[in-house]
Amino acid sequence: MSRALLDVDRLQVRIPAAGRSRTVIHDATFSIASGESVGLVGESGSGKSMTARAIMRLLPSRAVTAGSIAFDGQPVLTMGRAALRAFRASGIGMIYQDPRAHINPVRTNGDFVLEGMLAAGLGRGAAEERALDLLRAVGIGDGARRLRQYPHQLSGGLLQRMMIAAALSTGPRLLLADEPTTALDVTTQEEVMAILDELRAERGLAMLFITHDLDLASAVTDRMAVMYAGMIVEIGTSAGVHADALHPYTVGLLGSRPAIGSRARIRTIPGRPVSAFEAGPGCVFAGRCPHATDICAAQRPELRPVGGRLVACHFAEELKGKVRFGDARAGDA
Amino acid sequence: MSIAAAALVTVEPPAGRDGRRADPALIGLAAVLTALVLAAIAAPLIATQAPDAGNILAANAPPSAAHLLGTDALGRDIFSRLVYGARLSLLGPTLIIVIATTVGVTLAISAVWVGGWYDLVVGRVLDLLFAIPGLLVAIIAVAVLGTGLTAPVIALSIAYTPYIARVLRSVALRERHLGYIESCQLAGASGAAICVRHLLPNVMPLIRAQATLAFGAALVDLAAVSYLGLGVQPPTAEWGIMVSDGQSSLLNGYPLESISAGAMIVVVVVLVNLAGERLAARAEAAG
Repeated sequence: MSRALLDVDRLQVRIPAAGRSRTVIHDATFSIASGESVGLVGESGSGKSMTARAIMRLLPSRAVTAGSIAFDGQPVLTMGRAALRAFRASGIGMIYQDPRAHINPVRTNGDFVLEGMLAAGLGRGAAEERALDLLRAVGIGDGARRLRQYPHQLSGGLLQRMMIAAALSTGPRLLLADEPTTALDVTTQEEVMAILDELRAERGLAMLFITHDLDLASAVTDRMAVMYAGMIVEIGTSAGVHADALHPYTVGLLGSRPAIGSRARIRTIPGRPVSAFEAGPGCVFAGRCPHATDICAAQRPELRPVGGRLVACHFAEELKGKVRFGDARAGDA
Repeated sequence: MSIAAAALVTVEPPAGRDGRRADPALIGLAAVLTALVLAAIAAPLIATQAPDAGNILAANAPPSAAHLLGTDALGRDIFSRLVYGARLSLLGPTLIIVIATTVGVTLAISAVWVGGWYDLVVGRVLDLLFAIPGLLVAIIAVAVLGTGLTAPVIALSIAYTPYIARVLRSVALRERHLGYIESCQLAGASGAAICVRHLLPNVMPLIRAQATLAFGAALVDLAAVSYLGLGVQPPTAEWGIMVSDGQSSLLNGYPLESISAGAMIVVVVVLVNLAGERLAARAEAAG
């Protein structure tokens, strides 16, 4: 494997709250190679966005981190102010879930799209020209007019394309996309994903794609990491994870998707999702796993290679293809 | 009157561009206040007499065609003195608000941006200043620097800084953590650029409202300082001085000087407060 563009190694994040320090990320280890697209999948509160924020060093000021994040060999967590600014400005491009909240409402779209290029020292004329090229690339034909307008005059899909253009404007090598299509309606979602995928492939950009949508992730990413309660529980090729999950949580998550055409009740994983700081010393999923044993509650499994993939489960080999969730409701499924 | 308008400001589409209608009452208030300011500037054209030309033989004259509001105890034309008095009476609070707003906004936004111990120190200092009555600071300043316009203006500027800064700080703090600020950071914009170009425009409606409300209070305070004889000195025409000058005539049955000057203070303060409340309501509605 070529040297990773982004290397996250044993990242831990703790946030002190009410005198105690609460862990929000237990252990996240993954890497993204140049041009590779990696999905980070998990339910709300599993630490996906927090991982992205740690990569950008946008954690709350009180947060304590351990482990390391390296971008192109440079350690991100210990960067000085100037290096951090340069890294944020030209190393990564960020696409947020809700473009309306992430674009200054009282300034024009042009101000937003040009911001990064002007900060990078590009002249206004050149920056505008480049912005228009980018807008054409994301499918906005009348760019000049759109740049003069304000965010509230644009639809959500259009605004998200503005954001993609802005993210690409400084020529980053890694895109962080935090649920970029969740706030959009389904048809717009598809368009935006297609644009994103095409531009990414065209420019050879690496991408960390954060989503709770397993199907979407497996369609647009090369590899996929599944996160639960602040811990990455399984990483592998997207097709592999999607077709044949090894970790009981991934199996449960895949089983919980609604099927089109089926009128059966949607299956769920029994129990409620735990927050990272609620997890005991053992496996974070032990409390909800139907196959948990004493060792699961006592000892936290590490990510280890199982069948060409990394899985954090003591019984990954034994359980292969045999994970069954007991149904709480009779007659279900 | 309540200075601390609990106004919340967030995403406000640019006012008046599309969608948001201008407030006719606000336009009316602004028009009247602008007329007052213009009258003060054009005082020599409007006043019928020189403000300190007295005719002791025509003292305490009743209103007439020559003296619209009569004359004071020294025979000076009250109407002309009111018109000329508007200059200092409006200039003083304007200076106070400009200084207090500039300092207050700078302190509040830098505190929110820098955070940490700096924020803590700024917060404590503002709390401390907030606890001291402005008038008291003004009296101390006059004791040190002497009477005139300078000492009370400096003192009241300091005293009004927390009115602006404290309210602004809490709103700016919330604004600072919104997504659009984060995307500016990620675009590589410098802290100063983000504060001035992005944060400030978004909290502007609140600043406008607070500054307007503080103007009314500053006008009253400054008039009080003059009334106490600590501000600009007679025979200068100024409303606070006129109220105090007219006091003896008031007791002698010639109330027009004190009452007309007092009425001007009340009218301006009420107009400014109405405008301030409406601005605050708009700022809140935008939030």
